[in-house]
Amino acid sequence: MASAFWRSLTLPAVAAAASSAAAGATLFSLRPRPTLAFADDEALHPPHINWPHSSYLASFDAAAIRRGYEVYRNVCSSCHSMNRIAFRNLVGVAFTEEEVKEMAEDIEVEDGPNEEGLMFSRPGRLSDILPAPYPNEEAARYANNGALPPDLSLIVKARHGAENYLWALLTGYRDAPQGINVREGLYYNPYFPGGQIAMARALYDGAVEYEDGTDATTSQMAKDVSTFLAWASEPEHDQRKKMGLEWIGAFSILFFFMLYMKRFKWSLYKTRRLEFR
Amino acid sequence: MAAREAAMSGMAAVRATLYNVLMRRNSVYVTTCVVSSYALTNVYLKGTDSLWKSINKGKSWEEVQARLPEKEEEDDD
Ligand code: HEC
Repeated sequence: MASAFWRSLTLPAVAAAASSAAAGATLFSLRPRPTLAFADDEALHPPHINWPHSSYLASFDAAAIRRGYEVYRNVCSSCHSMNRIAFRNLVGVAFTEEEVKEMAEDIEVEDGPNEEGLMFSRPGRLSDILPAPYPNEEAARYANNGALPPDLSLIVKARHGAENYLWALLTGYRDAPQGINVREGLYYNPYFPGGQIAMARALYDGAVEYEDGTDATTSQMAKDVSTFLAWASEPEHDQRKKMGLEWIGAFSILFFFMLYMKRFKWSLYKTRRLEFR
Repeated sequence: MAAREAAMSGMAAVRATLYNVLMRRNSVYVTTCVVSSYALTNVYLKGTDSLWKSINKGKSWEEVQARLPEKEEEDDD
């Protein structure tokens, strides 16, 4: 049907060029690439994945955002904060208000000062940001061998390759090829610039149990958490695409009225005759 | 008036009627513009909305939410 046609419209090389100018062929499937030998400062370009939200008129898959939050909560949040996302942001996106309220109440938030000037803790509310694993950058570095786990709220916008990179990074751990010495405390990952990252592989098959029964394979979890982080980086994504449809559609219709009006107004000039004496 | 229009060919008669009914008086004309743009916007947005929904079938939160009734029961106890 028409919907299948629209869904098949996939973002062409425009996004690819923006994310990885040097990338060769654009891949539209979850096809892993062979490991290449490369110099230290180079990174393997992530393959382009045909996400459910890739096409011009495609919205995020709410079920994937929901599963992705599960992965973030259970795996990534022990090291990474998301300080631009509050609980309330999840309401109506991937959770109901009651669910989010319950989630928020499960955490302790320091608030205050009260009338005695003391800080106190209270259960979380919808307006609280997602809890951070460490109180400050120093603590985060100290716990991670000196490396800082970046805040993930805007990570998809902050990396070339966006969610493609994220997916490739999370699934890209493998043994280092011969001749490459991986420094202590680092892990080989060809998609990370330099090839050695301070984050150990975080996702293993079955690391979370999805409530909707989806098989929690490494690549499924990587896909879901990347979708969740893509949403977090651009919560207005669906609105933006829908408005694009509305406005481009409306102006396309107006275009023909304008065309008619121009021809109408100009008909006088086009048909008059000038005589010079 | 009606008789004069009856003598015209189809399209011309329609245009003459439109002119007489909607455009002759400025107050009527402006009201027509406002009311019809409101109505057309509604129709247009309904159209793009259903196009959007058919393109993205199954992915919206409303649809996803409708697919998970079991979980809510578990949560209640
Ligand atoms: C054990 C702690 C830990 C866990 C768990 C963890 N990370 Fe990390 N992560 C790190 C550290 C440390 C870095 C910094 C790596 C570096 O700079 O070399 C990092 C870096 C990153 C980066 C930035 C890479 C870049 O290009 O700079 C992303 C993206 C990321 N993590 C995503 C995730 C996701 C998604 C998860 C959950 C599936 C996750 N991390 C789980 C510790 C962790």
